[in-house]
Amino acid sequence: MDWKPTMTDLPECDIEDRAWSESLTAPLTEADDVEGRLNQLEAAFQALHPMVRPLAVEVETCWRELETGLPARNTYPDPPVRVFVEPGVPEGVVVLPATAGPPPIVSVPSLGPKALHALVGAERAQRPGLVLDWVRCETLTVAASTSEPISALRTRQLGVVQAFEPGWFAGPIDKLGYRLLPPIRIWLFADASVTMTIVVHWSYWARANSKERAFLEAACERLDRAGWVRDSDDGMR
Amino acid sequence: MDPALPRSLRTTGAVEAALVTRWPPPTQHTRAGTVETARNGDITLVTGNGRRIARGNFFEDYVATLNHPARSPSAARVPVSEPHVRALTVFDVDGNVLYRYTRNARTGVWTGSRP
Repeated sequence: MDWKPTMTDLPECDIEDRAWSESLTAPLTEADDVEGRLNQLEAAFQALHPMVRPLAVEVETCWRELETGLPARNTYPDPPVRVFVEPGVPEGVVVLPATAGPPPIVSVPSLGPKALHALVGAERAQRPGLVLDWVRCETLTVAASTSEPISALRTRQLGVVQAFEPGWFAGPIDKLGYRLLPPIRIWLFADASVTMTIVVHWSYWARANSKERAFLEAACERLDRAGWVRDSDDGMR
Repeated sequence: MDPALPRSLRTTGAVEAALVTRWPPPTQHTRAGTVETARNGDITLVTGNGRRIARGNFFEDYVATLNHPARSPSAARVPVSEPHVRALTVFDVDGNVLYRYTRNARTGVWTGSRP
């Protein structure tokens, strides 16, 4: 197969082959406020939920120091990494864990914002000076919706990719030995503070002046008004 | 060699990875003080009363992460691409090498070094 650089063609739309990203940092929480950081995780996914639906996420937990609020170093054994997958991942769309191992995959009924809050925070534990907490929540497989009336997209390598629900496209796609990134990825890290990074890999969502881009901007502005701080300088423009 | 890859991307030679990052990261604020990261990767927590607490070295600590599977596979934080590369070099945005990780082909153990 003749390979060419990735290029996504969307019918009735000019090709926009550059990405867009944004990072936001949530208000600082107390070291022992595990529930507060879970609320921030839920709020981040809630802000994007009408357009971005995680179908698989990878969650890393840690022991957090109550004295400093930072993830503890050199704890043993480390809490396990977990992968949660929602039913209905379409054919050709894959779940690719970010870590080698790989962690066991757990099927769950839903990865909606409230369900994710419950899953990530299901296990509570403490040790002297430490509290069990989440430190990373990363989407592995994502569906994103578009308001454009299209039922398929076309790529040079994959041919036609059908929407698995009207207007919803999922990824990453793995077909014919060729891989297409998910339309959008979301990373949440809880280091000193909770930080969310959104990376858009495909137009329409990356295309300037699109409804999809406007939705993402509006979601970031809602979080901004809730006290999150945008870090636009780090975004690819 | 990964047979799933298109022919033009296959190689039988050694594969290395490169990472470009803005370095050092900005100071982080915590309830206990501020976290400073030096160019060499040293991390220091500076408390409100000026006490400086060493928090390890970002680059050196990642060597332990890369070698983690031997300790606890279920808790591995190793990137999924790790088995496919023999070295990882970290650059700053100006192209200067910050740190280099190499994997011993015989033992599989990762070590780190500064330029």
